[in-house]
Amino acid sequence: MTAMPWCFNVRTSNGARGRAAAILILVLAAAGLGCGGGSPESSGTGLIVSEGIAEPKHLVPSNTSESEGAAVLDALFTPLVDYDRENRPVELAAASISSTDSRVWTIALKPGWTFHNGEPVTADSYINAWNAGAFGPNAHDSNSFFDKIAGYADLNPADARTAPAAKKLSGLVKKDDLTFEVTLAQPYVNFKSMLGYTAFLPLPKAAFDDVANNRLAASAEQAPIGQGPFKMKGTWQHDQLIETEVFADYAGPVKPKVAGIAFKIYQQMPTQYQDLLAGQLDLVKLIPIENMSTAKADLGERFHQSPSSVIQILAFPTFDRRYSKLDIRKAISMAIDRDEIVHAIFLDSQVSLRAFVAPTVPGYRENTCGEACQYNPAKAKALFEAAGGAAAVGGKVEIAYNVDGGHKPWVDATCNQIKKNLGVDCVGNPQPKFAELLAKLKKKQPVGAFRMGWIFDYPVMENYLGPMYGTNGSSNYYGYSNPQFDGLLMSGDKAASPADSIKYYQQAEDLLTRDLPVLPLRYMQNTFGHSTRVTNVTMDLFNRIELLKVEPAASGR
Amino acid sequence: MSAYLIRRLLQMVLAFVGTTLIVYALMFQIAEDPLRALAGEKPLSPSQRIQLTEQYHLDRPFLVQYAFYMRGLVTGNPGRTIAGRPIADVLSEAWPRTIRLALLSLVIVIVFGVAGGVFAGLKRGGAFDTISLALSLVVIGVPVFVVGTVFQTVFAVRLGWFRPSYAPELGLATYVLPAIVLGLLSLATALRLTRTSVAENLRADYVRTAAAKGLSRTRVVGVHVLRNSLIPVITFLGVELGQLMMGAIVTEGIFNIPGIGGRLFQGIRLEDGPLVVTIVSILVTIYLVTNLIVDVLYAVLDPRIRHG
Repeated sequence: MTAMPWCFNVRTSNGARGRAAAILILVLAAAGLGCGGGSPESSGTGLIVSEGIAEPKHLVPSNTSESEGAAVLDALFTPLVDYDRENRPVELAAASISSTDSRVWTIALKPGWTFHNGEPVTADSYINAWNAGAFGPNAHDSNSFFDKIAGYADLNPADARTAPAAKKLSGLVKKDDLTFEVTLAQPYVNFKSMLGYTAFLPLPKAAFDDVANNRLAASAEQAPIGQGPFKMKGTWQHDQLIETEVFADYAGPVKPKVAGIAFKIYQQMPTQYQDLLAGQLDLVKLIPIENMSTAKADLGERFHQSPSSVIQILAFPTFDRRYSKLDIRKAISMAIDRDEIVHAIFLDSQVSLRAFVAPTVPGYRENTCGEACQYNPAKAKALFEAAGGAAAVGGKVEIAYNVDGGHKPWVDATCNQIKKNLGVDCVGNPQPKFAELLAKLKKKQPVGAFRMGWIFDYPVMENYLGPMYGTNGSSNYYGYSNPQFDGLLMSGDKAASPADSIKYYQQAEDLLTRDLPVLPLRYMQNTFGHSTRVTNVTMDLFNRIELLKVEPAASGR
Repeated sequence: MSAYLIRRLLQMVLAFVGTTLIVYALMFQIAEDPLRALAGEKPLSPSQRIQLTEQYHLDRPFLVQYAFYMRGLVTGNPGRTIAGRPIADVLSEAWPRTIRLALLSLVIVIVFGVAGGVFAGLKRGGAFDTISLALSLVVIGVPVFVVGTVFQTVFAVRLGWFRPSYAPELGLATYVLPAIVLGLLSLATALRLTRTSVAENLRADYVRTAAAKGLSRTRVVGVHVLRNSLIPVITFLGVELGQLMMGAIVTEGIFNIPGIGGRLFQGIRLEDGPLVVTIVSILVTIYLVTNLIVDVLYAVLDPRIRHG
């Protein structure tokens, strides 16, 4: 690859194109351009692999809840647990995580781990980081992840204007340098599964200005110091680049096979894809839908798909009487041909979903939704007419969606299917932003049925069922409330083992099949690609490329 | 002249306040709950609510919010983005890139647009004239994001002459393809404008007189025709510099240049009110100033125009 391809071209071309190019050169010279310089592609022995991301919001673990920052932190840090093939947690930075009652958890760390600045990783590294994340006035994005730990309420007063009663979580107690104890407010058998999430990473003392007051240093954001396989090379070059290189003293069991990861920051997805095609970028974790039709041909064996944890549903607000009859909801569901939509609209970058959780969590069962999610236009029409027909839904079915998310095509397609199969008018109800849709739902305005997406934070069924359908669920915007369901979730949380908890969660999911508060529609596929320079590119549960597995390609470069 | 300048400056202040007020109202007042908009689909904690409310004075009346904001902007402290970075930092990194892009683009427009226009005007009806007219019609008709994507695919991905995206290590070279895309529309307009103007002036009485006096054709064209033909073109180019900076929103997005257009696009997408209002205020100022300079330049080029 020539560093300055256009210069090269001027020298070799001739004829008319040469003259045009010569004129161009004159112009560039006038603009103060030269043809010198250039940059080395990679340094030293190993391969620096580039990955495309968007500008992260933050790079402090407990303040990073979006995928872009999480991708970078995944290179710089190593979590307490990783997940096995069945998505069950296994110790990684931890030596053991155990509990006898699911309430008091003892976490022992593996010895010999150090941060990138040489500071040893101790129990305090975790306790300090978690306290800072849970401390209300810090207003970290992942603050609510610590709400299961005892003492959380004291750090987060109901009236945020008042000073918190405490600065440290009472549930975090240091036993010795490498052991600490976490006491939860309520027993939670799947706590170990939570610990793979970004919010639970440790921080060195160097990341703090003032540990006692949970105050972080500005450098913790601009050049995070972790204990992971790669360390920062320089600081975060906003909107451009985050460079990392291999951390020689990394104590993890698997060592990186490349010399470093350069996270190139992009404003738009299609540019990443163009760079991938031109050989300027190695890893693209999401191939945009615009390029889906040609991606398989463009990339061949370098095009990959794997199931992701993002699900899309169609929800019915419980205050809206038009959809209060179960048979109306069921008829709408059966009138939707999910397979046709994922194929025609999403070009198979999404897959039909017929359960209330994604296939990436232990306990997922196919077709729990049963008959209600099977496409059956004849039965749908009969059910719909029996339940009152068009008059029951006020003459038309409405589907509200946020226009900034690219949802119009599939909403229109869904409406066309409903129109055709149920003989009732159906219209999309566009809202500028999801936030505005939520504001209207809060005021109980009849927006109609509405779309919603959900991605889990840790691979447990409860992480779908609790927030989405629990009576007090944080994202239960439709108001589904079923005491029996809440009770089953509670029993699951307190179960003797994760395997036992799944039984309760599955019973809870069966209640959703019976009540059908929302219609499962689709789950997303990770659709990713890579350059010829690398091989063995896979995605983890959190939609991140598994950087430790990436290898230089034998024939590449 | 000075009375004219004072009048113009006063008008500029009014235009500035008017535009920024409207943009501020659009960004901060239109959402039913500006805080929710800042947070996206995830729920906001009470602490986050309080911090954001205090930071943007959202609990005060609208005009007071605006006054607070303008005070910060004028004193060079426009606050922080919603992600917490000082806006001044963001802008000081982004501006040089956009200015380089816009100026390079302007150079391309002047060199190819004006030169091509003069050439086409002198040989009116010739092959070059006809072809360039047809091509400029195509360029004017096709939206810039289509041109950008096509150029990126053809010249960068397929032919490999350029990099598809911004590569700071290449220096100014990395701006060449984006500058061509950005300037293409202006280039077509400048070409047509110059061509018409030159063609018209060639038939003017004073040109015939000059030729009758026995002046060489170079002097007739180079001094008499060009000077008069360039008046409308200069107007256009002056206003165009402002346009180029705004047009950079699309171009910078396609080629991933972290300039002002990219920041504005990101700000609008994330509903980052403070960032958007700051950038728009600066763009408005640039637009007003370039307009003023163009009007003053008229008098220099054409002695008949006097500002009183």
